[in-house]
Amino acid sequence: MFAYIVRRLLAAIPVLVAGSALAYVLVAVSGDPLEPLLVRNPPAPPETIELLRQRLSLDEPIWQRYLGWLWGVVSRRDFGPSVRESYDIGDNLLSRGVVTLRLVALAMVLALILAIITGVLSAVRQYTTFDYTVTFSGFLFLAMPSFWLALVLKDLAVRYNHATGATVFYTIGDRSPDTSEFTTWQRFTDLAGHLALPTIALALVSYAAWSRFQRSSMLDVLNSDYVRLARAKGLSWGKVLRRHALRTALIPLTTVTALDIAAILGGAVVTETVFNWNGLGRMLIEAVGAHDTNAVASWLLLAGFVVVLFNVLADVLYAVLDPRIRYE
Amino acid sequence: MSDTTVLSVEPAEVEPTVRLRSQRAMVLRRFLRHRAAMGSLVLFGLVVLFAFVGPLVLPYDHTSIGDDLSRPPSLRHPFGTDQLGHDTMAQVMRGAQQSIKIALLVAVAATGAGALWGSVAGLYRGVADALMMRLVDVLLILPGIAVAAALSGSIGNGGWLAVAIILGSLTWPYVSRVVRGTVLSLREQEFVEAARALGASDSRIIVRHLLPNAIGPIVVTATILVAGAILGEAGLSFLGLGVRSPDTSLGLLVAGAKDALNTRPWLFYFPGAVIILIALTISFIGDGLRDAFDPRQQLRR
Amino acid sequence: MNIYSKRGSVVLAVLAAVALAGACTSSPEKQESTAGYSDCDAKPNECNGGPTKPGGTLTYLEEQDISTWNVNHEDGAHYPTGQMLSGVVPSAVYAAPDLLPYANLDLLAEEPQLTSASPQTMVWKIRPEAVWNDGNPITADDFLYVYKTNNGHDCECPSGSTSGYELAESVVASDGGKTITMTLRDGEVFADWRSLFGALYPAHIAEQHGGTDTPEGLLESYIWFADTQPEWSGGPYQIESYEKGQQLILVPNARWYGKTKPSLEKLIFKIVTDQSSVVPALSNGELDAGDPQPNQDIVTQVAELPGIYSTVTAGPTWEHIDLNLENPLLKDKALREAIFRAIDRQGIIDRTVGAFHSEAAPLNSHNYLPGDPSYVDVVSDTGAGAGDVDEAKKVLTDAGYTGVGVDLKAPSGEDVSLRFTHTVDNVLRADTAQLVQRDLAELGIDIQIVTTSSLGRTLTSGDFDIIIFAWVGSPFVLTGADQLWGMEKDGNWAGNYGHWANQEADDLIQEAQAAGLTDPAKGAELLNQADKIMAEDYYNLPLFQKPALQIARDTIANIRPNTTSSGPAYNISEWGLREAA
Repeated sequence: MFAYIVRRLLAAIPVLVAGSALAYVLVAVSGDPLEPLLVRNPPAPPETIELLRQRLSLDEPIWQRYLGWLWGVVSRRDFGPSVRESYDIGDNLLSRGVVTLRLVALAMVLALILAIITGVLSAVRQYTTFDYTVTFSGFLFLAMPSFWLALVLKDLAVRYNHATGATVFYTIGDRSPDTSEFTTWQRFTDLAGHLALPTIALALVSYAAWSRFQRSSMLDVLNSDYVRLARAKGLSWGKVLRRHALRTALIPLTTVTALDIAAILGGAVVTETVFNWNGLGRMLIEAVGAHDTNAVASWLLLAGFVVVLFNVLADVLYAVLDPRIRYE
Repeated sequence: MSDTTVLSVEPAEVEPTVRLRSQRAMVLRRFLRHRAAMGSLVLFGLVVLFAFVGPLVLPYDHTSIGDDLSRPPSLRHPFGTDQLGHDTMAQVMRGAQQSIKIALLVAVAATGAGALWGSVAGLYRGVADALMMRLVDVLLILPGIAVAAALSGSIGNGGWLAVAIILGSLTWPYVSRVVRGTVLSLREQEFVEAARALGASDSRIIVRHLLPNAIGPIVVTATILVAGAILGEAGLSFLGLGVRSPDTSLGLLVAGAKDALNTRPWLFYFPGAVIILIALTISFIGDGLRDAFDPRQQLRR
Repeated sequence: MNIYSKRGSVVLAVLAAVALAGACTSSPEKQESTAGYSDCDAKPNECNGGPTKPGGTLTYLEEQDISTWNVNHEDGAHYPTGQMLSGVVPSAVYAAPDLLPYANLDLLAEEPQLTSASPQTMVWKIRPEAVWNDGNPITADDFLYVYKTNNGHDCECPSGSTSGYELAESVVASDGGKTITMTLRDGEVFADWRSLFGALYPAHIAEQHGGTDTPEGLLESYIWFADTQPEWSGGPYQIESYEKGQQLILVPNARWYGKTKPSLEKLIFKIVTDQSSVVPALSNGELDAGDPQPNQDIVTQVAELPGIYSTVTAGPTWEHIDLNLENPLLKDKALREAIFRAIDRQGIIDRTVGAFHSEAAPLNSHNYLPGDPSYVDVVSDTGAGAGDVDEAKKVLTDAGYTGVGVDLKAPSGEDVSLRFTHTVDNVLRADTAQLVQRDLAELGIDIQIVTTSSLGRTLTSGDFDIIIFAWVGSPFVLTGADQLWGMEKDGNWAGNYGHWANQEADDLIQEAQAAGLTDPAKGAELLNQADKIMAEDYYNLPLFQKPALQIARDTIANIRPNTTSSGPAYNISEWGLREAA
């Protein structure tokens, strides 16, 4: 197993390198970082522009810049100079990565729990009102643009706050600005109040997809021969579910969850923008806006790495959970 | 003496009435029986009519600037007007046109490219397969929205075609994976062997035998892509990276109205409702198609 | 003296300089409370004023994160950065809501003096009480440091602006370091000299991080200032903590030497980048005040929030439509005249900014803003922007154009078809483009709307026919006018992107600069004459000022709209909780 993981990770390296090269070239070609200085009203002094050009090595051909950047990342964990002088890319990736991780992890857990419960129940009660309601609401959430949903949620939350007179839900940032004098409990509720809306917004879309997936894989299991046999032998539904069906039915979902990480990261970009979280999502938007090639490429490299990690995780989970599968 | 009015019933000339149904007919029948999918098909058709035929009926087009500014829905302007004097219904129609065009182009192009790529890879296996799938991996590693963000500045003027190209190039890898998986399981079956024994060339095998049998997953994936493209375009427009003025799209309309939730809700909810409607109906249609191609899931316990 | 500048190193000097105003001393103790924004028109420097009571925390909204800690750096010409550092970085000058520049008399002992016009010599005197928060006095060394790092030749520092400093012959300290005398080279004139030294950095701290003598040392300290969060301060506040992208928390500086001591316990600048978050956050109590970009919905909702004061005023940024005189069709004055006459400015206003700024009106000067004593309407008489299509048609027919109103053709027979360019992602300009397209269609002109994602490149390369963009105004205008409307010098058109060349106007602008040094009123008069010539040539049509929105909770006193680049933070030491009457 361990050897398998190592092999997979090693095999992923060329893919990562190729992906990062592709990303670097795409970004370098799609915009000029000197642009903001020229557009500024009035434009910056020519000496300043020249200094920036040199700092970013813009006179070198793209492949050379890419290799220089890659070498810096690999050897020194230095993600390269940013268009903005005082902006440390590595620093930002780390601190903002933690913020995004908090949001994404919680949203995934929430979505997973909800999806399992509704998926299993609606498979077991197929074609009942419950099933139809859950299925329809799942479809509905899947059909909503995530920012539309986030904006509506924000509106509802503010109305709720007004109605109850208490500030339960917060709408900007991941915590209140000044928590230096909060007790631990207050800090906790503050964090929770800020987490609530973005987590729900991010979770709802994944939940919808996973719930349907869980329902269908549950149905597959329920219709399978060994379950029918168990029922024929007289076992109650409860026992059948607990002993046999559930574990098998969960397998596909766990892997799908891990594979969906790329989509969730994409969803986080939108959610963080709407709720003003200072996470990776907003960092990307800012970097793209500034035509900051090194920052965008570093971001994509990190994202790619996370995706690879989760892909391997998915395969490992699959092997662990399904006794029929073994990798040498 | 018994009654001899025994009706002698001669067995009628009963032809076996089991009509030979082709797979296609069976699929169609199952689909037609799926109520939600049929209903959605009708609804979707209505939306398409609304988007493409509607402008011919409406007295305004999406560029006409009238004198009613920011009016709520009324008889003259069923969806209200915006700040500039545009009729919102005309704008939603035009936006729906652009969004649907994007979604369909993405689905068709991505499905076409992905199906071809995946079936070639699946058929040949070996080194070709490994290389082709490596490329797919490389493309799949990068979160779509991030790549779209990075690219958005460089392609075109923000028209619908540019957005479609970007979204299409991000989604074809998914199709290729699905198709490859299907082809891998199909190629072991006898009909492929038989075709080979009869001397069919590879391309003929792909086109005449593999692809038609993979049609189920391909079609279902295509519907998912359509829905995904609609939502993807909306998301990109919200971030300012999708369709841009003076062109319009549903995503752009909603994004432009994001502050107007409470003050001029008709600008926010109407385009949003159309997006949801399109994505919803397409999803149900896809669901119906999946059940039609693969009825296992409908068996009662 | 209200002078109004656009392009030109001056504006940048001002942006960097005037953006920081550690203290405002334009009004002494205010005994009566003038809550709310209703009398901001009459008393711009005093509205929403009143005595404050000690204590409290204020959360002020900023729309972007701090770009750099060194405001003089090229990354520092950034409005939110200037606002947030107002309380920490001292400045010799600031601009008040009445659009006039004022000397910072918390820092300076008296108004700076112009002791000689030729060679131009200026003198600043520092108050003995002025100290940094570590006890070191603010001296001429600090002024010298700013001079050396921003003059473009003492070090290779990426400066945001070198104007004024680069013309200096010498900067000399005297009087124990309390007096600074700056002399320009012979023959050089810098009319906007009062904008200099708008952001001072502690030289004694620079000494510890590279030094102030060698080019390498200066560069090192310059970059160190840009990268390092300041523990030092020369203003009423000092930084307690900063969280990237989230907020900057300030606490009062115990060593503050100015007249007004800050009454707040804490001042928080909260960074909120998503426009649609502003209203929910205000409503939720997460924000207390701010000056975000307005749009119709935000303005309407904020006005309805209980306990919140808000007002929309005309901002310093003004939109305008320029014609490219290198285009052969546009070389014909008749066509230009017709185009400008047909454009209906009031119609555009009604459908764009007029929806939330009820006082929005067409702007009629290229240099000054209404409210400025030097403002003179040079545009109305020319008929430009009046939306008079009939008059425009007449001009065209008289000039020999055919197909007027249907499919316009020049006398040479050429089809009149032009591009209208605007920056992508700008809804205001996109809307304006559509309205102009409609207006000009009535003349038979075919307008094609084109977007650009690189305004700078489009302007400098001249790749446009008709274009809309904006200039930012400031109290300092004479130097900028030359770069915007003057003729080319050695092939360099500077900010005159449409290449308008008029010898008479150019001469007047040069005269204005020279005269304005000693007689501001005369300088303004000459500049307005040049402006009249330009208006009659139909080259640049000013549209309107972009509105600015100011919001403050009613429990807070002394936050008032200031549409100059000093911003509402110009009197940051006076912000506080309102003392109940």
